[in-house]
Amino acid sequence: MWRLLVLAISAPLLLALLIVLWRTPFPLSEGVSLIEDVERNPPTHFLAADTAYYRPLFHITLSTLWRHSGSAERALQMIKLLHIVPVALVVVLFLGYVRPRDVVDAGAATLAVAVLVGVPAFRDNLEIPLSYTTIGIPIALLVWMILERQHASWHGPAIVALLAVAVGFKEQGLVLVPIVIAAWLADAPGVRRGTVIVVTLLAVGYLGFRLANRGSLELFQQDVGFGFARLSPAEAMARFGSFPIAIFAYNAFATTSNVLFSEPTAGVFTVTAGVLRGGPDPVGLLNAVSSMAMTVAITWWAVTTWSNRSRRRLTVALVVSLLACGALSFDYSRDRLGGMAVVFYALAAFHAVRALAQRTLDLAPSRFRIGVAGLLILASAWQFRALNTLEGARETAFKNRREWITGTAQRRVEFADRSVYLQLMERLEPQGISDASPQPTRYRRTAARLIRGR
Amino acid sequence: MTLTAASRRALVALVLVGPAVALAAIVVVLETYRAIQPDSILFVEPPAVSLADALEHREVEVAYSLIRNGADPNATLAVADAALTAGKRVDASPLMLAVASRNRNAVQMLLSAGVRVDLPANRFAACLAHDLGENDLETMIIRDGRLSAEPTCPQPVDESATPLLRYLR
Repeated sequence: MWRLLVLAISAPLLLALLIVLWRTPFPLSEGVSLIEDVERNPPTHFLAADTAYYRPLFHITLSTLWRHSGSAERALQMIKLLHIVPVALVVVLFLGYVRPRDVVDAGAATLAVAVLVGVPAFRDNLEIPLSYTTIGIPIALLVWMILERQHASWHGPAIVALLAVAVGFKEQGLVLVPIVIAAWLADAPGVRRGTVIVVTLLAVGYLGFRLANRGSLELFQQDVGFGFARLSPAEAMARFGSFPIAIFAYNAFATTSNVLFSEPTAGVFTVTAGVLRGGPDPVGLLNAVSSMAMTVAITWWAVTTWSNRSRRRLTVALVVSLLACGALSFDYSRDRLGGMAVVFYALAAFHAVRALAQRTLDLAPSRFRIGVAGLLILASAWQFRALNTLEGARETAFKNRREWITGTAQRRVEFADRSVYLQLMERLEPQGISDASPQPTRYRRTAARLIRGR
Repeated sequence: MTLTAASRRALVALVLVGPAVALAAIVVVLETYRAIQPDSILFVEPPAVSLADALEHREVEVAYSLIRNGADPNATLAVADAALTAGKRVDASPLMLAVASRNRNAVQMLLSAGVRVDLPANRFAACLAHDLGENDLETMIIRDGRLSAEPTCPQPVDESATPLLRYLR
């Protein structure tokens, strides 16, 4: 019953988010070239690993959907579903797993769902059609649910299959490997040594395959955020090329810190820079402060429940997933690269908030009031962040439409020698400029107009 | 006043669930209102009074909406603006007006909508962009407008005129 209540409370936001994603125009940049790739090449082409962006299963799935959906419109819908279904699935699975048993649990679960949806690592993975890690997020939760169940014969094959799918969509799926190993070392009931051996061998084989086929790639593939600035690959090369380990460590730290503290963003300390200037972005500041508060609460919970075996396993999984996300983002940090850690962060948040609530109940009256106020502020901040994720998805849709409105002339010239690209652009343009595209809610401007009385 | 254990429990649950319920209510109310009144200023920018107004002062979507609904992006518009035309009423093309307003998005939109840069009313758009120091706009007009050669810019007749007036013929 409590699970249904939490689902009912979370449903409006989740449904609104799914509808926005469904109505989001396929983007002009990246979107069209992705389709061009699958239009021009056979599916087997995507098995070759001589690229920094090796996502064979994603491209093969895209190719299959594009070629066999009957029409371009249907294909785009299927590709969107590939993104939307995992978003819905992770929330439903999450609520199914945490199983709130009373009203306080239900409260903690509503807050944990807001944490799941509100962290930048989740929000940054909502960009259609880049479903690489969006697929991996519910898979991470599924693997965790299997690891924590009493063992059954299908567990091993299921874990291996889920790992293969996650890694096939993006190398971030490798985060599951240390999680499986750590869970086994911490006596998780759902995994046996054989599975750990197979998973380890698969990871070693995958890494060997990637290293053997990497060719001569540039040291820095994308812009690198460092301190308060963003460096182009050439600038990063000039500054760190002789000793890249330092910037690799910084990037790993930045991704980990973004999950825990919502700062830095893509390696750049934007909120801190705003504070130092004396004018921080209020939303960014709220994100950073609420993340800090939640991370402190999780740390307190982890320390106080360390003797409990299953709680300890979750703490270990969170730490391992954060370290692995950091390690896999060594070349550049982006919010989305922390995606595989979000379910563990949200699960830990559920337990931490539940423990905080229980602790608050036992406080003396004066402290009880402070505790209640603290919980209210924390819950409100995270619900605001969840709403902001919905608005962020709307803004992405708006940005995509604007790109279609303003960007086709440049591309007709720039890609004049790519006839497939230009044909696809013409075919996809109607959905790009559709009036049905989501619009951001104009809270500030409407408030300003109302205040001015116009 | 001392709360009972049950009251404390209810209060703690309320402060955790309350914001989530409030958020759910906000989303339901907002989305219902969006469905009933999609043209509300809460969701879309109000329409412009004219294409000239949209190109000068508004988000690019407003001008695009007018063009999509039939406004000719190559036809000249009557403009009288204190800053752009010193209050004089003149006829200027949408592209010249967008450049004079330094509205990059509008220039890109007009080029994407098929504005012909080689038309007499548009032929000095790149010159105007250059005069305003908008070098990327100048490059964009020449490149995306597919001009075969850079335009020969005329010598301004009246140096004291506003940049737009200098290039209107």
